[in-house]
Amino acid sequence: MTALRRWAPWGLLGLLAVAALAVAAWPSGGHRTIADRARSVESELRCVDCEALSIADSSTSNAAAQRADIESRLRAGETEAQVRRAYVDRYGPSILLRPQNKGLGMLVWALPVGALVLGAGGLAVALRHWRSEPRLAASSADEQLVRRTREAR
Amino acid sequence: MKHPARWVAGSVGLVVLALAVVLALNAGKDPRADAQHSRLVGRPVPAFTLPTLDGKEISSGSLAGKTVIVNFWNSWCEPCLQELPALKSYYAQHTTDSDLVLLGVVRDDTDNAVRAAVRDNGIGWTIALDPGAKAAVAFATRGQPETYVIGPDGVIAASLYGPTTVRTLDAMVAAARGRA
Repeated sequence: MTALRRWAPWGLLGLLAVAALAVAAWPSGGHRTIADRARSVESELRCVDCEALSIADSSTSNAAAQRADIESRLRAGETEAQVRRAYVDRYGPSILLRPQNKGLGMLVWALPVGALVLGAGGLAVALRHWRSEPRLAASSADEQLVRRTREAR
Repeated sequence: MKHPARWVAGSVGLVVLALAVVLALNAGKDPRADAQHSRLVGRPVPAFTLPTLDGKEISSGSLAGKTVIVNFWNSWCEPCLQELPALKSYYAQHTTDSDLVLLGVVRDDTDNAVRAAVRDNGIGWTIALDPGAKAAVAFATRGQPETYVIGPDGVIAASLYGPTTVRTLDAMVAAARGRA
């Protein structure tokens, strides 16, 4: 019973974390149109003739042409990943607004997870350490000492 | 685990050390270095068919077997105007070379502005318009001016982002013809 009481909050926390991840990873909405898929790809690609804007948000004629190109590729049957690959192939990885999950770009994704795991580990160790520390209680000798000191005043 | 705090501190230290090593190995590398050179060099020229300023049509197919200088430009771009003397000089030097074509492709401009620029600057080479910027996207251009030299084998042999010079054009054309 004591063990159950001890581990219940952790179990609950784990369940909540899994539920949050499942909700975040669950595909939103139902059927995605070509325009939805195009918008998704466009928002991940950098506008090449402007600063820090995606193709989706840029108003340059080049970005407009790229939007048309992306849509026509999707209409022709290419998947979003294939369109992304085609753009990386022609422009290089710097066309991607989000770092790739390989090579040095992997660090961007791995570091926060590593920090989270280390932090959780550190917290668990600290909690265990604090819990294992003996509770300090006054001994009869301590109580006698206090009594004598008070009487002496 | 005798000293858990030391284990945690050691793990954090290892992560920081690994990060420092990775960053040190990549120090000085430009993450956008791929934006300095066209990745199309060494690949077949993308197919294009464009209307020319004089009402005709020009296509990649019609230029097969020739060395083609494709120069993306427009009338409002200052660096394009800066490179104009070099292009004019190069064109004048090679008017008798029937195997060499200089093609200016207009990027992001109006027909009237282009006509005025061609007239005012005495541009004699073929100027093609790019409605919908399809050629600009096919060549994966990043701006203007940009110059690509296509060899007689139909492969892009050299590219340049920014204003060109006669010497650069000579080198690019030599590279393109060296492939054939």
